[in-house]
Amino acid sequence: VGPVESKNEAAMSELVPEPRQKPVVPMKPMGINASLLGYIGIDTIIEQMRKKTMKTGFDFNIMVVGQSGLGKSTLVNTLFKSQVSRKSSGWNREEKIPKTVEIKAIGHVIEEGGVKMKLTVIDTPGFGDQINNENCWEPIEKYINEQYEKFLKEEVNIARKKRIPDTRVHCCLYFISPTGHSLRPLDLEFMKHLSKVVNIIPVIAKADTMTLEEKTEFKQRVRKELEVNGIEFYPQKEFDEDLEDKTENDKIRQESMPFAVVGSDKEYQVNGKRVLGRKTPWGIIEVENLSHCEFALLRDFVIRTHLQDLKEVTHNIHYETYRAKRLNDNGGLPPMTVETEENHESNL
Amino acid sequence: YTRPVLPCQFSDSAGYVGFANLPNQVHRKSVKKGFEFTLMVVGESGLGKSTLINSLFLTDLYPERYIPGAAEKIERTVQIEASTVEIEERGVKLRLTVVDTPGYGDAINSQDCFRTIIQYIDNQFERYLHDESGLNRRHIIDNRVHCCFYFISPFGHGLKPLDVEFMKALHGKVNIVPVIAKADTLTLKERERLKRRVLDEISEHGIRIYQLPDADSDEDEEFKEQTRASIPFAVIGSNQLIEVKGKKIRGRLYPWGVVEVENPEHNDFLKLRTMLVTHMQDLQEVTQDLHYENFRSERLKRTGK
Repeated sequence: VGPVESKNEAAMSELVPEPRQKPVVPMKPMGINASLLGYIGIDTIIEQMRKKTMKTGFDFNIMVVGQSGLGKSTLVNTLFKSQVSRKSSGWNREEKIPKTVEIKAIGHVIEEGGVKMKLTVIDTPGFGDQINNENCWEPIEKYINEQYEKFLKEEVNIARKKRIPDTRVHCCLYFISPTGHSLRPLDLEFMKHLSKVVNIIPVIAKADTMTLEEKTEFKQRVRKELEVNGIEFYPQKEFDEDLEDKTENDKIRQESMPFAVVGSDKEYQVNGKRVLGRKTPWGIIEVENLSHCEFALLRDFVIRTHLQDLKEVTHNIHYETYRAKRLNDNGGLPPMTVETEENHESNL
Repeated sequence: YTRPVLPCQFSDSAGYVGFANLPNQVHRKSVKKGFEFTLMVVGESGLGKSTLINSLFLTDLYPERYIPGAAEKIERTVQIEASTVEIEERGVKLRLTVVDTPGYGDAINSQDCFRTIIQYIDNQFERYLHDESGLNRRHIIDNRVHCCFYFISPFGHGLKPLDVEFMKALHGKVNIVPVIAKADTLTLKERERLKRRVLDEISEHGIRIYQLPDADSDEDEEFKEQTRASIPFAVIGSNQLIEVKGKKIRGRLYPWGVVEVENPEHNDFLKLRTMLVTHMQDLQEVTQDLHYENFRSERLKRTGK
């Protein structure tokens, strides 16, 4: 089937990018001949949709949560091969840890292969950094719900925008500290609360502090703990659409996740190639080398294969859940037009 | 966002992120889901609507047709008949619904004959609006009419009063594509004259027919212009296969020759079909963004405070 690569192939890391194929576009109708008798051209609708996607571009909003110093900003920069995180926009090394959790959203437009992406990275400095971290996830949950509310308000407007701007959080990377023991109570509390409103992808940060055996054991223990505590991280079992999805996602859920990653924005020369890595006296840790860490798996998973699905689950599941709750609330839906703020009766 | 577009910051071989693969991900999901499209056909009896639809989609949507006599037609009002067929081509599944409107223009007094049609279109909008506002939105079915082929008789001198009234009433509710039926009753010169008359009358009455969007950078601009210049499409349909030069083709056999349906020199059938299938996505988009949104805002303004 045409240019679609199977998901399994895409999961293998590549140090050399695949050649970018120009999509096949039917430009002129084929000449009249007998073979035309059987062909209508319905399949061209796929091309039309592809063109539309490329023309309109797309939004992607990714949130990073975790204690200070776990390498969140570096990892996001590594994921998108650009200086897109909060730390890149005038970061001061002497910056103090904020006293409460702050939400900082930074947007960039990046382009690749003719596809434009409006990427927003939402950082949450201060999370888990206080002495008393009780309820420190609340500002985050509030932010996420505020984006749903914003979208909902646009949707019920009488005169709607053609393309409602999407600021909803599509993916939340939760950074687990590589202690080697187990999850911390804060990790469990956060994921328990937030997995119900957003797609959470747990990652083990700074994985170069563990040996291969320690890594495998730690991952197993974390998976067990998540399961025992009923935490459904992305990809959630109940949203597998068909057998194909289930088989693929089962493998990811039971073997690969949580991804043990290392991030870096520095390049070094290894075997004649420039690679992203960390240089230590005992060797160079190559970020995109699967035998060193699982960064490439995370990248392929989030960007190359499940990007669209992350958005769809956010829109079709999390957002709809929020909306249904709002419909049932006493207050009902927000008023139709901005002017009638006082009128809170549901008009639908 | 005031930030400029950032170039990839790292050397080229390591610079590939991979989100350019997004269209493929969308493609995969779309193919799995399949597509829906609703096409309405409107025109007097006997203009070859059913034959044309069968020719367009290489299906037999009307296997056992019962054609009523004139006396029966006197009492008839306009009916709405929807037939759905599933077409699959190269792995792409399309659920096509054809909405037929038998009885249109048949009555001696055709005063209200398009009221039923307007009601049908509005009902689909109403249903969609209701579903869209409901609690469970996971499986909304889109039965809204995405495109309406309006059949113009080749026997007149242009648009009839009924044609004008219909198009004026419907151009704000559905994408109208005017089609000159049974084009083989006209010579090429007569065809051109009729097309020009029809276009003049359409603009005279301020009728808004479906406009083809401008060609993209990698589309054939010339081809698009040619297509635009052929509207209204003068078409011929046929369910019969005739052997011409050793090949079996769809056509009509006359003593003076064979009219070939898929011969661009004989009629605009291929242009119509190509235009339809390559603009299915746009037709749906215009229905959603223009016609449906108009309906919705009117409805909400009426019931709102």
